[in-house]
Amino acid sequence: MTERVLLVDDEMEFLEIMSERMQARDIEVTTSTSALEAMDLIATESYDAVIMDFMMPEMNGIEALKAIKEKNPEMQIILLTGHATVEKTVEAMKAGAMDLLEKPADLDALSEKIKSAHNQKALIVEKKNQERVIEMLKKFGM
Amino acid sequence: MTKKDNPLAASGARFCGEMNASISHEIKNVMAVINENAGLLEDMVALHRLGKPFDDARIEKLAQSVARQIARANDIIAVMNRFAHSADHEWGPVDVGETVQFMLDLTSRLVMLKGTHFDTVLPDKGVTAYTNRFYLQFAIWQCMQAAMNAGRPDQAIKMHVAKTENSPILQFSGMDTAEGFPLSALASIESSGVLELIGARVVSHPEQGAFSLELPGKYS
Repeated sequence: MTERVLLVDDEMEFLEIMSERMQARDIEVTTSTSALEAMDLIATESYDAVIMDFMMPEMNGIEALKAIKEKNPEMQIILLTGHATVEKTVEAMKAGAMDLLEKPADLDALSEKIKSAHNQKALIVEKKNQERVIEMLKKFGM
Repeated sequence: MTKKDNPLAASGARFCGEMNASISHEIKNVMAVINENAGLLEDMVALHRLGKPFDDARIEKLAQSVARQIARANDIIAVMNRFAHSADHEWGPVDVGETVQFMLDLTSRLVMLKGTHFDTVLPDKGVTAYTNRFYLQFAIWQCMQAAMNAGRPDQAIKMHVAKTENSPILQFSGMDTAEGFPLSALASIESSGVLELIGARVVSHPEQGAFSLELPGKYS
């Protein structure tokens, strides 16, 4: 099954080229130039991972990450930053990021993380299904 | 010497750091686009080796993208260089309008991240202050920050360079007139020491949502 990714950055050219490269690797990509728009998209569409710039106008990556996690705690979010300091990394992880990567990011490494997010999501869905089945069986006294 | 003894040294150093950090982020963004262009070219070569023909138009577009980013980086570095050398200047005549425009270029990314927009009104003729270029830039940035924190959503903050009978002034207007007006931020500018150093003062008009930076028009 194809991985689905939401790519969020206010740099249009970066979005276009990265999106093209990901699609060449059979990753389905939706792009957004703002965190606010991204949050609207997440409310209606299903993604395996969100890849988001750390610094954006209106709402920065950390603020967006926290807002997204509040409504979608299982969403895997990878932040991209110009300078990955220890403080930023700790801040991102504490907020629930899957990872913080420094730009320019290695696409092969990023693709691996997307695959991992996809597999993680599949496991969560499977676990929820099993829990639902167990609940139903309990209901019928089995 | 402690921060208390010399607040200007501490805040001046922070100003330099903040500008350099912003410039480095801008250059990183340029490198990220160029990196993706390089990666896409590698991908196209790999696909070509598997039999896919080259897309001439696509390659041309990539080359144009790289050229655009190089030009962008060049502009960023020119601004960075001008900022660095502004510290070389001694006290003397400084064109206020030109300095305001330069500060807008230097801080464009920081202003954009704040979600604000400045509308500038520059005079037809040059307005000259007798001051120090570097510290004038610092004072203007502090005023811009105070104005941004009090800006109203979806409304540009106006910066108007003008001249009164006695002195050049930089007027900021279009801010919140109520509790949001930056009285405490303006007080911080006073206490930072930069206004005293350059012989300037800030005059606030909270009821109008405006304040002015009054600069020395002659040597004192």
